[in-house]
Amino acid sequence: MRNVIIARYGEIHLKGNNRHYFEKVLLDNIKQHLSFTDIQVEKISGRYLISNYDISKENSILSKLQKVFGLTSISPAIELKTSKDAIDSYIKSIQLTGTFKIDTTRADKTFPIPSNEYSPYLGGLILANNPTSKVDLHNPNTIINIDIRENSYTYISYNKLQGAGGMPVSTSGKGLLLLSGGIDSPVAGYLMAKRGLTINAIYFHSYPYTSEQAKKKVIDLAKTLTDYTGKIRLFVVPFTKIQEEINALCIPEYLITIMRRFMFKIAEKVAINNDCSCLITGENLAQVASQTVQGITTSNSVLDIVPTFRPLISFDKVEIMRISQKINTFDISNLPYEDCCTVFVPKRPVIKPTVEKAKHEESKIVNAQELIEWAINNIEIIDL
Amino acid sequence: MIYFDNASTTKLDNRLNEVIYKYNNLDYFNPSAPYIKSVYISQDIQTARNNILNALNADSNKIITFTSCATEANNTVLLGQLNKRYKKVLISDGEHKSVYNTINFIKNMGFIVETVKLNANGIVDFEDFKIKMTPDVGLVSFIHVSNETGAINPIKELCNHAKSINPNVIFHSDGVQAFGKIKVNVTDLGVDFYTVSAHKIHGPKGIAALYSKQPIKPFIIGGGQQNDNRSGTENVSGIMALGEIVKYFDIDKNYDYVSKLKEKFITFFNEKENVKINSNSNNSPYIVSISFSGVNGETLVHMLEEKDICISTGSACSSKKANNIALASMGLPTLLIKGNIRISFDTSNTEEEVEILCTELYNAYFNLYNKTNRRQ
Repeated sequence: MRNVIIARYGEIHLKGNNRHYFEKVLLDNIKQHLSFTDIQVEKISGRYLISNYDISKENSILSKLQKVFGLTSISPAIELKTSKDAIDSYIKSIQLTGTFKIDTTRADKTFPIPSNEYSPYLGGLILANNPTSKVDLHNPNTIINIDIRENSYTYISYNKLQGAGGMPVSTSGKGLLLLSGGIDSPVAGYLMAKRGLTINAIYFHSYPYTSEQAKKKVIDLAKTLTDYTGKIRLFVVPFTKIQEEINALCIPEYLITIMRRFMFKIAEKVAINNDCSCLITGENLAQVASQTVQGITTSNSVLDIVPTFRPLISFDKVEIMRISQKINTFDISNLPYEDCCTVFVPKRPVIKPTVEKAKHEESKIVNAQELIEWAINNIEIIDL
Repeated sequence: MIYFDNASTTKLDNRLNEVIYKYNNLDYFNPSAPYIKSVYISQDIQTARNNILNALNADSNKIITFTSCATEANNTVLLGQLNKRYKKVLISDGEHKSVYNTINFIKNMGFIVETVKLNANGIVDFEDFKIKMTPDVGLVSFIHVSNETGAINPIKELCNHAKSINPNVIFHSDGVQAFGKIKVNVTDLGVDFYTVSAHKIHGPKGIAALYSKQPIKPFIIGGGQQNDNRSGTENVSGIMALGEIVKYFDIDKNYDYVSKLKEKFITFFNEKENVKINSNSNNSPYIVSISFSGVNGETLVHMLEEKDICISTGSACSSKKANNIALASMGLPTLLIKGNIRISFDTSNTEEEVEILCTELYNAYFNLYNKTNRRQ
């Protein structure tokens, strides 16, 4: 008998011939998330079994596993060599109060008792030893899962923790997240990682207009995201010269529009140079002045090749904040340091910019290409 | 590196190395232990206490309680010494955050907290104080020298007035920016509590002291150290360093020297357009608050950082709000609050450094203003 953890996956079940690929990636991701301690992981018939770990670290392991995309539920369990005596004996040792239910799955058909007979029998054993407990099949306080597997082992677990869901990170390729210090962009990164993207991030740094603390804040946000996404490569783009040029030459109403177009241009090049097949932004429709359909169209129109995913486009702010709190980025995002978006803020930014007008304003920056190249050549790379 | 952020912290005085070494490596005994070596340590601590009382011009029978920092000392008074007989607490808009940010906590304890406005010079507005100082005020806390502007509150007059309205009122003053820099005589000031800190006067971080007339109600409970005023094993090396550094005070000489530095700085900026100095000649010469219209003060700080000059923002500003309560209370418009920085001098600074500071600061402002205001 030993303590183990069972981790189950969801959507991967729907995959056909390439299911093994997804299972293999998920296995690797589990290992990476649990690299802080010694463990053994193996795949057993549609689930993963984590064993040979230091029991004092079980809670940490469970908490890490809950952040692995692709897993739908996780249960700490007891592993027994399958035999009626061993199972009965363990069930007799259980002490519980309140209502309970026994749920038996008999994948090993050589086990002589069908599950619909074995569950009530085991329930009787518990009742005999726990006079205050009571069976409730509909809304029990405790569900005891008896999982009799084909590998000649039985797994008994009490509670099922919710997994992060989604698809294993990296099975959908790699995306480049435009990360600011705000609340939205980390959430956007989290949501796309949930759909299997490996996340790289790009941050536009406008020192001395923005502080080193603002940069540290973004690094901290990316680092926090790695709990879910695994390793993140962060590109820090020196953006000051470009912002100064835009501010000096373009009409104030278009400052933010033009700034965003430059960001997208740089992001696309960085994405292509680093095998990222899409951009990810925290953009939302109608949250702030630049987030109109026209605003999004005008900034998006600079992109030639890569698509932009905007997973938050329809979210209410409170919904975004809720996720942000769940993934622990909210408090970091709320730190007061400014990001580059707030350095040169016009009194009246244009609500409905046009591509033509934006291009006209941009044409005033004659050395734009040079500035972009300089910024890209001077990127600082931080691996988190 | 040129350092003009001495109100934030100061460099350790090398003369303290010996005493710090001694009490960490040689005489490292716990002063509460029963053996004779420990008894000697507790006697040394008493000597340090006497030195500090002496530096504060306090009677030798008054109490010095050592704390881990001035924030703890201020919290000890604001949160630990409240008297339920009186429901009101008064502080000013010019308090350090370790006082100001206790407001909500005090309110949650069932008290009413009122804040007294500052006048245009940055000191407590006496008229507003007179209105708010009612017989039901049980505790008053006013900063002695403002950490933002260097304004010096007339603590004696404020304390006298408070006591004339309620003789039982507890009067506290945060003297962190005053101690060792201007003459402090707590007996003359009449205060019940006075906070000082070591690292603002070239002592080590992690040690501060609270002067009090009477034993305090303990705020930190435990083994009953320091006559139960503040439990926790004493930071002996810190205490001894603080007890030592006060012996080096040369207030008049240093005051004159730093005044010259301040004068040089102010003379340079006095006539400059769009620049406002928020400190006057009555203020402490150690701190100057200056506002540059139309730019962000924090950006100026970073621009000077690139020139290896350390200064400070007077406030944590964001583009959306300028949240410096003291400057706002003085009536400064938002634009000047946003463009505010703080220069704080020390005897280790030279006139040449001040010249470099003036030139670099003005150049930075000129460049920044032109870059950010061309079209707005």
